[in-house]
Amino acid sequence: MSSLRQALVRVFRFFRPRNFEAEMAEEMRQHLEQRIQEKIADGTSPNEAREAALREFGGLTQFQEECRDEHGFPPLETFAQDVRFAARTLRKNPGFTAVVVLTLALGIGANATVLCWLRNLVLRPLPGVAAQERLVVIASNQGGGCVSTDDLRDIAGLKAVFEGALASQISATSLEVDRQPEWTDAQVVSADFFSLLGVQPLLGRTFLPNEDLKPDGNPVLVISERLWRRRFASSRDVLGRTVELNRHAFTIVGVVPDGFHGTMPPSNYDLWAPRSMIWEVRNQRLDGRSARGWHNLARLKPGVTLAQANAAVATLDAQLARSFPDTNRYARHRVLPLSEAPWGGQTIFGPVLRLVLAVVGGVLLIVAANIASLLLVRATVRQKEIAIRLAAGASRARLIRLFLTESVLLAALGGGLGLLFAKWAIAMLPHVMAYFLPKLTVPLFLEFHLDGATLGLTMLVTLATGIVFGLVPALQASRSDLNTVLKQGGRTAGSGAAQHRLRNALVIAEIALALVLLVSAVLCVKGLERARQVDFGFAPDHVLTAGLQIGMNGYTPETGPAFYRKARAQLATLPGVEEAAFASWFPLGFGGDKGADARVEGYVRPEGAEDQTYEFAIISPRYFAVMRIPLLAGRDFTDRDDATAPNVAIVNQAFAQRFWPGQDPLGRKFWSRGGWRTIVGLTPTGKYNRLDEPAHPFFYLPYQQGVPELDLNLCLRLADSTSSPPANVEGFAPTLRQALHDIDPAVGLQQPRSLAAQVAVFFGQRMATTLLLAIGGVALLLAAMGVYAVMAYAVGQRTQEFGLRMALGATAGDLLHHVIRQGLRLAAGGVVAGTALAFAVTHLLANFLYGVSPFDPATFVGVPLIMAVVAAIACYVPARRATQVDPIVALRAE
Amino acid sequence: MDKIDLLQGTLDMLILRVLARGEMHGWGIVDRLAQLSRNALKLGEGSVYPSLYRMESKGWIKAEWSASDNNRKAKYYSLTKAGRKQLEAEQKNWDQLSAIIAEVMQNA
Repeated sequence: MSSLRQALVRVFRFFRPRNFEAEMAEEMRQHLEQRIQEKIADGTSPNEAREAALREFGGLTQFQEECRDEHGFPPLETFAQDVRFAARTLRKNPGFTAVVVLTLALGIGANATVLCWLRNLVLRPLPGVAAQERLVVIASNQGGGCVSTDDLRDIAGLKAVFEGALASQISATSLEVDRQPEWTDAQVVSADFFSLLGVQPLLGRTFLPNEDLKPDGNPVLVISERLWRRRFASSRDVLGRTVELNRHAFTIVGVVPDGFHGTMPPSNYDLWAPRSMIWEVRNQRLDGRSARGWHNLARLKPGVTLAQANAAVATLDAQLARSFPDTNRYARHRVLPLSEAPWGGQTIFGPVLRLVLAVVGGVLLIVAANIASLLLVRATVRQKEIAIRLAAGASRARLIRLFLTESVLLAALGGGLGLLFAKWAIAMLPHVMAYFLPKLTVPLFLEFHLDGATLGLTMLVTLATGIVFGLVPALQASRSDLNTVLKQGGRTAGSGAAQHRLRNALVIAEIALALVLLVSAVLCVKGLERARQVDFGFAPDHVLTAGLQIGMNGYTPETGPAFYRKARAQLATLPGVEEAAFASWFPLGFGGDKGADARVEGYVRPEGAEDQTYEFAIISPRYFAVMRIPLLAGRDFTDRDDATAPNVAIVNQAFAQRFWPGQDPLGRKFWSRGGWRTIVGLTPTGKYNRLDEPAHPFFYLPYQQGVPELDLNLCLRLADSTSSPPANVEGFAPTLRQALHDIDPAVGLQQPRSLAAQVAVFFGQRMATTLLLAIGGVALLLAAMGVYAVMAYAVGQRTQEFGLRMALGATAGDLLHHVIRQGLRLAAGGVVAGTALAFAVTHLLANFLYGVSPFDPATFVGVPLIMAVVAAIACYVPARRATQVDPIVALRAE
Repeated sequence: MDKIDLLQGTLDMLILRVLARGEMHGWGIVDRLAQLSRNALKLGEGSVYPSLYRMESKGWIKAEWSASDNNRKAKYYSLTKAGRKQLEAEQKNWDQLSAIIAEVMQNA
């Protein structure tokens, strides 16, 4: 208690040093005054009185010094001194300080930025949701990881591990308020959606238990505060109001706060309906155990681990497989952390951001190595000053503290600036995304802020960096031998073997790290280049797509086909249009496709086969013509393939190969989507979801036999003349809109976009490549700076030696060679180490390298060469300086 | 009579003892010490100050600026509760020590 008090008193006093000094002086002055007055009163002369008083008092300054020692808080006091001293030193070397602070700001800022992105996009992606760390996703091995509500209900029933589980799906909907329609993104969700997420309504209520059970039963809506402000002027009357969603009347029952954006981050949702209303919202039914089309989230009980949850689910899977062999024999479910959800932003951003975080971490290491070597160089320059301090009695500990204070101060300045930089970069995220994803349809919420975790981690990194790069030169400098330094006048003392080795090691490490980053960047560029040349199996250029969603405009499954027939016929005759078709889905997009069960008479599934669903698309005639997908055999669908005609299908080669290896698939039958279908056509196996996916079965169904799929997307192949360059494809939209209006004014065109822009497979590669290239360039620059600093220093130290060599007849060329050779030895060390390191890590890039080996020989030869050339250039400048030494001046200098 | 040096560490105890009678300023303490020791101690007057500052930061005494007799502000020191305890402890320690030393010196 008393020592705490004492510490507090001292800390408090530390901040008032002026008062302390003044009060101490005043106190002692009064003491002397008192004595002088006494003596004068006794009859002594004023001068004598003063002298006597001072004599009797003793050493005034000595006592004052002792008082300061007794009074102050020595560590803090010296710390303050150190800080002042360090600040003065840094101010005296503005160039050095600027380089260090700026590079550090870059390193720390980049790390803080990426950490913030990663946290907000991947690790804790659900703003406004309580206790996200206990949220997990249930991923099935079918339907792109989605689950059926029946399976999910049984899984949520595992009360020992789960508190509950929610199901959701997304849909763009047409919301009409006061006869003003607009596209709004909605989620259909299970009744416990809000309660499980811990989202409390701002107004009204969220969904009631069991409100989601009766199909088409409860047309109620919960809306976001955003929508409430925008469309309802924040009026309290919104509760109980009826609005039209896709031409169906819904009643608004609640408003949820702005902080909540739905559960498919970073997309933003403003409307929620119970899942019983999925037909009205999505024009789709997803009932039964085999309808594995639901996104989901589950909440773990506190203290339950993923492994425990997975074990419980595996046991349940086995039971379900026995109880429901038709639907669940091959179905397996896994419990994944939120950050590894197989849908949403996590799938897109997770791998890229993790890679980028590793890369900026590497840059921070390079920055730290760079700064350490700069500090080391400076420490050797200051050797004499240090030796004098040691001789004058400064303790080694004190010197180390001095150096550490300096480096931590540098780190703090760099960190502070870095956070400013990060703040700016984080605010730029929407623009970055707009650059990489120019055609994203769903509005995103990307307004992140530096959060406590990121700030804390950044501060920790800053402090660690400061200590690490300060400790090395500090220990080095304070270990130096006093006698040698003073004798040698501090000139050559820094060239001691140990320091030499350390400096060289730092430069080698820098070059090696930069090389790893550059190799990775170049591999990514090559991968992207290769990916662009891949045969997708279709030609996205000159294709314009748009959503129609006629189900929202009053069409039914019965009347829909007539509209599509008419629209296709009329649009195909528009000038500039070569082909027109409809499809439920386009390949290689963000949308993902649909999976369905398929059975073939006599086909026995091999034991252990994972997925029993096959991907399919519902298309109109001429789809293959629009997409330029060739028909290898058989025929295209026609308008006569309607509900009254025999069911038909077109399959890809992988499908044929799976069920009828080596035989002609035409005329064969398989069962899917509620009926037997006869194969009438065969297409090559293309790319459907990812460029690197293995060849897999895929089939197409004609739209008139594919109910309940009412909403299709339009796709048009435009003549080269109307859409050149390809970006101009979207310039055709107004013409298309008008043409569609002529066909049926009630049907709106949703987001006309070029298909090429939607081919999203490049997103990860593009982002990784661009960032890696930029960061690799910075790393190259930093490494060059490191080489330059060390070589320039070495040359400076040896001025005298060079003068002597020249005096003895060495030519400028000799010296140039000599210095460059020395520098290149360093570079060679770095290049060899870096190449080895790159070999060890590039396999981690495999996801981003389409068709390029992580050990691509050309890259592994070319990039080290470039590095060596850059290092040579960095050596050349100081080497030139060595040749310009004037022997007379150099020799006289000492 | 030659003045004698103060034993190391005893000045604190003496000052505490003096302050036990009431608050006092720096030169007052010096006067009181001189008076009590009949001028027998060799002591630079200023040497009370490091001692005072040390004890203040240890919380044994506290200092306050208040008006003195001639109406100027002067710094007054007084004992704290912790200081009183410290004085007791030191007094006891001193009594024991001096008794032991006296005994050893007499009987050796």
